[in-house]
Amino acid sequence: MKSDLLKNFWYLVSAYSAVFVAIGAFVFTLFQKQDQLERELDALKKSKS
Amino acid sequence: MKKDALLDRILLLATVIAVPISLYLVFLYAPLEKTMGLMQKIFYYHVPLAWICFLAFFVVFVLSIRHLVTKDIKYDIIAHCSVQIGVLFCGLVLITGPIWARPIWGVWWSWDPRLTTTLILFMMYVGYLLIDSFTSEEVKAARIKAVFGIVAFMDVPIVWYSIKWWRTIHPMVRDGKSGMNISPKMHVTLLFCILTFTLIYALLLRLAVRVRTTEKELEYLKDSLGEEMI
Repeated sequence: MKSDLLKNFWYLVSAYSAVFVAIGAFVFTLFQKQDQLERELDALKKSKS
Repeated sequence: MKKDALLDRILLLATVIAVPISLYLVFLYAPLEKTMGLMQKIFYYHVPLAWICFLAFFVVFVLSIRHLVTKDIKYDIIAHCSVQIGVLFCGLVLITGPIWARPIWGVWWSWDPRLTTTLILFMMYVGYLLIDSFTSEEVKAARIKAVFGIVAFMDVPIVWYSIKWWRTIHPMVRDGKSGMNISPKMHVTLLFCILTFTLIYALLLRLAVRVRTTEKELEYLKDSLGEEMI
């Protein structure tokens, strides 16, 4: 009974962790990409002028 | 510009406040369900993820129609970003669902109508995201994606009604007779989690649109520099 409860607890923690990790990773990727794009854009604008 | 930055800050603040409140409601406020016990608590994130994924694809559906009518590329940009978030949320539905199913049904996966139609939905919209790689013509790709976004949305009502149209072991939220027992505290928790994920969706959409707009700006600048050199 106790082992079932512990197993269920870990399943629950895995599910919630997956949600936070996935959304967190998506946000991190967006910020990284935005930084990279802005740097490229600045560099191109400078070379154009 | 100032209005945009203010809206971003409000959304971010609201989301940062809502997430811990939703966790408090799920783990401390909502009571344990009689038959499933602790595992039932996956429902409070699993269901909002599914509903907001449908919302994301509905937004794509509307914007795809707008794009075909107006030929304005901004609708394609927002639709593409909404698909990215919809695919993320749909993927999470397909992860949290089996995690719940393993201890309850004894299997990670079953070819149940609800699960199968959701998997098809996920694969269709992953396909949408790949369309850009098949053509370098922006206008053509946007048109193909718009048509795809309209057709693919037809699967959303199929997913929704699959538990009514076909025999299924997937639990029903609303039907008290054959579904789960939902107490008022559970309702409040579920509604708050739906609100939380709506805020997350809105925030992610704004971030993603900003990235894609900058991407397009860079593309146009590279194209114009390329033309100048010629």
